[in-house]
Amino acid sequence: MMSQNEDKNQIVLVDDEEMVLTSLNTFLSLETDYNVFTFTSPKEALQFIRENEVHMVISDYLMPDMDGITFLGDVRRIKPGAIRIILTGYADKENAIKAINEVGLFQYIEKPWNNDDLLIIIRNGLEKQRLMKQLQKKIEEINKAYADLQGLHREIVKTFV
Amino acid sequence: MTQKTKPTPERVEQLEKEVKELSRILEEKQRQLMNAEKMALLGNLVAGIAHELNTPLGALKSNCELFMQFIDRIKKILFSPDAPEAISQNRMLQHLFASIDQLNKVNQTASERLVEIMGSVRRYARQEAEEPVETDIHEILDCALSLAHHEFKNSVTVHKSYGELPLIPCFPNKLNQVFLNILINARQAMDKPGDIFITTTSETDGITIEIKDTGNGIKPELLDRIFAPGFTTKPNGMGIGLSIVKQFIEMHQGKIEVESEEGKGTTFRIMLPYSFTPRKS
Repeated sequence: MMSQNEDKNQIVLVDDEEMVLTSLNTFLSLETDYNVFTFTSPKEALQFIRENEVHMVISDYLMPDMDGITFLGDVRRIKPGAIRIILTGYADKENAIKAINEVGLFQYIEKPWNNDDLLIIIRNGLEKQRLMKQLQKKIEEINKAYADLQGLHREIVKTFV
Repeated sequence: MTQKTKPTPERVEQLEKEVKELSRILEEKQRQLMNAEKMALLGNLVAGIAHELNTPLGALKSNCELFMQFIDRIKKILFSPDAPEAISQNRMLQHLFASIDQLNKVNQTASERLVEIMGSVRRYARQEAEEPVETDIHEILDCALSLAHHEFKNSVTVHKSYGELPLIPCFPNKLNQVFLNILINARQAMDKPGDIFITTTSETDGITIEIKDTGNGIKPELLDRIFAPGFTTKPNGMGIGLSIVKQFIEMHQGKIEVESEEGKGTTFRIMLPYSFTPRKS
């Protein structure tokens, strides 16, 4: 259930080609209500991700400064709860798939991409992110409740000793 | 010390002839090797270019689709019942939108064609699998046809008679090369516009693919030599195309046959078994 204060989904797009960022951003801005942030530099993107709430990061694979897998590995360290997706051209698909398991990515998307498929993948990813976050919260609540229970138990035992 | 007999003038002349012939063959082989290296380099270049094209193609394809959707939404606003009549009844505006619709459809078709061609090139250029893959042979045939399309435009009419075929284990890239080779040869055998008939059938032990052309045909005395390495009828030919085709078919434990009639055309018949155990090379 969405609380009233729940922030809009924040998505980070990283690709060294401006035309890809513009196309994706325009598409998402008209089809969704996500907040989209675009970067041609992975380093700048990492800075942003460190300082802001981010639900999903979509990155190109082949970039001059840093390859997408390395970048998404860094993203995982900084914001482990964010969903990570890689954009890959056909030629590097095999390499990308091998690395995907190492870095733990949600999905890969091939270029040229299909807009409808892209939307479904993003929606699924964000839904997963939301559920994982809820799950984490519930686990924390259970742990706390258990700790409280244990505390109570100790008090009770103390009274009877 | 044994006295060696001096070679006769005739013997010297004969040896000279043999050396000349060997030199000629060596030069020929060197030329073929250089050509093959150039082709290999070109192949890598094409694969690289195909990869480069993915990005702009992605943007174009995506934006084409979006344009069509945006125009629809704009039209809904401008021609809605509560829009001012000066706008919703404007003939020029309606005419412009009709033209935009037409051009958008063209752009859509163009970008789809680009994606299809790029897909074929990429499939052709990628690394071959090490193990056979269960494949729909028709997909490989269509990929080869798509790559040959440029050669066929305006000069070749293709007639496809595809039967019901199960998936066949194969090395798709190699079969792609086989079909492409035969198709290009068929085209080159035509001096005037002609036809190519592709028929596939499934038999008891495997499938048969028949590629028949209405080209010039092959001389009967040459028929049993066409698969030999080095055989070529082209001035710049290397003579390795069909010998590689035969090797690739044999890799699948299949068979290839050829029938031809001068002036009428040539038919290649390829048989591929439903299963085979690949030999480790």
